[in-house]
Amino acid sequence: MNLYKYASPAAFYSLAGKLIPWFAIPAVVLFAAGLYIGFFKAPTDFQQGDAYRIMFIHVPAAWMGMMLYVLMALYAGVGWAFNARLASMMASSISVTGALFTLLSLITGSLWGKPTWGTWWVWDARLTSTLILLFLYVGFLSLQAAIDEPKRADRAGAVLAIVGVVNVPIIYFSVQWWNTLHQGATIRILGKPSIAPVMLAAMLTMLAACWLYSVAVTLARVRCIIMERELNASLINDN
Amino acid sequence: MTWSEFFHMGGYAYYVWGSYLATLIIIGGEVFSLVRRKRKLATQPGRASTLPRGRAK
Repeated sequence: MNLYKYASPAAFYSLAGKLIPWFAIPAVVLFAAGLYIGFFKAPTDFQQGDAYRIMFIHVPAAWMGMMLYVLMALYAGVGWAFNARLASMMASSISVTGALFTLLSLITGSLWGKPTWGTWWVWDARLTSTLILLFLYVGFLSLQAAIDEPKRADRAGAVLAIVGVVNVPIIYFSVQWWNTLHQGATIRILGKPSIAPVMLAAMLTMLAACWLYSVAVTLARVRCIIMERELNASLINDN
Repeated sequence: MTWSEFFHMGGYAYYVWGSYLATLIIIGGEVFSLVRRKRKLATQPGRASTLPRGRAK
């Protein structure tokens, strides 16, 4: 199979269509499984009571916000450097889902902060840098929306996306670098996680579901973008 | 554990269910807007014929 074929948006259009159910269906199953483990198997936390159950969506949403940003910047960079239209379209497609997950992490974080810290919001390092991440996404989206010519829009978006990547490690390490109200990392790259295995299982299942979901919606959106940008009937009908 | 205890969430019902409601709205909204965007493309005059019928073969 010639994989380079799929660098062409028209060829990728049909491939993406075939792939969507393979991500969407497992996503639904894993969301259900993660919620089941999180609400029926995981015990009440001895410190935070049941409020900690917000974690099962809050942590995956925050991770998705960061990881999708890096992925978006990579695609935008490849699209810019190699003049690859499909990569730029993928960056545009990812940006919406990434922005939504970042927004969700801020909302759920706020709903978790109120009962545990006594406040909806504090200008602390973790929260502020995550808000900046949301602004970077919004900036990327508005920049793309403001420029009519796709090629120029992609280039401008790529510059913003790549410069903004510097914010991601700042978010990640903010809990170590600054004194913060936000609790430390639950999962550490080295060393044992700081939560019970069943809670960890629920969270990782939800994370996997969020990943699969993100791939499915990104592919569905990139199909729309391909359609909107290149309406070359012959190209798409040919496969 | 009874169902009413379950929905009560140890007194944190608003926060916990609020979080999952927000999740539902955001994910549901994204899926809904994508379906609408796709449908709009398919029904645009002159474009209908360019869409492969159904999902790609």
